[in-house]
Amino acid sequence: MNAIRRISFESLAISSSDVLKLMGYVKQSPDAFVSDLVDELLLCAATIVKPSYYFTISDGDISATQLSINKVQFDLNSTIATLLRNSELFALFVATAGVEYQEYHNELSKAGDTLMLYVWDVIGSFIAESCGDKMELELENEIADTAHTNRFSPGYCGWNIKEQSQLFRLLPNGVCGIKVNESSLMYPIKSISGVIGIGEGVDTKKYGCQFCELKNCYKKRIKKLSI
Amino acid sequence: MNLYELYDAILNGKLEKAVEVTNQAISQSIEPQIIINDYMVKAMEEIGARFEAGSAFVPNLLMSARAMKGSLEILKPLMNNSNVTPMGKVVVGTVKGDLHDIGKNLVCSMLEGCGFEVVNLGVDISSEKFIEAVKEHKANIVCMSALLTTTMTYMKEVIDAFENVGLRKDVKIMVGGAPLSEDFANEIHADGYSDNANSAVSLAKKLMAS
Ligand code: B12
Repeated sequence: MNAIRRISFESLAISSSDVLKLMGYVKQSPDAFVSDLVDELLLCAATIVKPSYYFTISDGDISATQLSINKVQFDLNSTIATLLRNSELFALFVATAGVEYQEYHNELSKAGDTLMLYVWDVIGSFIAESCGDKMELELENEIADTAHTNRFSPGYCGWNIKEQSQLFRLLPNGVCGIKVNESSLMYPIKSISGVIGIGEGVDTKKYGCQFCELKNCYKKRIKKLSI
Repeated sequence: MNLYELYDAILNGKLEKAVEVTNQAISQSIEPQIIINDYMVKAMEEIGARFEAGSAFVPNLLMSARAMKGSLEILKPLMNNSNVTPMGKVVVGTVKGDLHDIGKNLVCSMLEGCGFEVVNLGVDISSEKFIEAVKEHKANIVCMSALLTTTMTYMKEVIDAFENVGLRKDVKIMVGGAPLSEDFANEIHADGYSDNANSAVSLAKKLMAS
């Protein structure tokens, strides 16, 4: 596919318990005030948020540490390069909670209710990730039975985040309304970008916390709580 | 009147109840210092300990901080002639090139809830703006936040800029954000690092006392 897909917030099927879990309420129930706020902001998201994604499939070459697509070179480190081994094609993607999400975030930030902003922020992270999942589903449809790797993003696992701008050179200008600034930051903030390797014999193992070097991540803490 | 109700209200993040009990305490001429130190601060310490232990979460911290702030605001006018010393003034911002605000805002709310005066500069803040704000507000502490490896390096520039204008010794500098570490903070000669908004408060208190 080479078209931008706009999807409805409802199609992401985000439940309040998903959001509460991401905040840490795994075994413990939140105060009614908090769960009501989550419900209220999910309803609000349904009326204003317009998530979207895009992917494009290209030829490319993968070596022990580098990936090259249409003459654009990426210095991956060996971890990601190894996980992309045996790929014959590469899907470059973005997914975003969208400009409308960000505008409401900015409004809440100005209004100064930190709890509300925090809940909206967690919902936004969830939207971006779920939108990425939707993109992956469509990709799976398109490549039929061919295997594919997980999603890999600049900034993770030793892949320098500065290569974000190179990745955007391979995508249409202003794709999904995303801008990349000089610090390689995508705006709207709740956006993801990256690459997926496609080919028979690629590593389809789930890529997760085991490869990440971030020590104090709250996600690891929540995982511990769920055991 | 039972001041433990105030402790409970703050611990459970009940703003209205906290304000109600605080008003009752004032009408009975109880010293603000006692209300704050023996009940309110204790409740914040307990919610902080529960957060660190994984039995309370960010929303709990924020609700407690909000209840604490509500009560403190009523007590503030009475504090000038009592011997409660203000905690200190903090200037907070996300550094230039970075637009992340949630982590920084959580730090602001917790500091405010615990009695610090907070000047929230916002995001994309240059060294000049940090310096200007410290001069204008006579701040004791500067808090810098960054969420990307590309923007955290700017923190060093800010610290150097404080050095260059001769203000480095007048302020304590705290840094934080997901990709940072204690080692990075030491490397850039910051005065402290913490990885969450709860421990940011204890760090700020420690720096004020040093
Ligand atoms: C959720 C998440 C996302 C979400 C939301 C993003 C967002 N920024 O809102 C999504 C999925 C969209 C995403 C996208 C990306 N992400 Co991301 N993301 C995370 C994750 C898991 C949590 C961030 C978060 O919301 N934390 C919750 C808030 C409340 O915490 P916080 O901001 O860190 O603040 C707390 C503390 O740090 C501290 N603190 C903060 N400031 C200060 C200041 C002071 C003075 C003190 C004392 C304390 C303090 O207190 C705060 C409250 O407790 C982190 C990893 C992690 N565990 O932190 C990666 C992380 C931030 N992401 C990362 C990356 C690389 C990306 C992407 C670039 C990947 C990509 N190419 O697609 C994009 C970038 C998006 C963009 N706009 O450019 C890297 C960044 C490191 C780097 N290389 O620069 C991280 C660190 C992951 C990693 N393992 O390396 N991400």
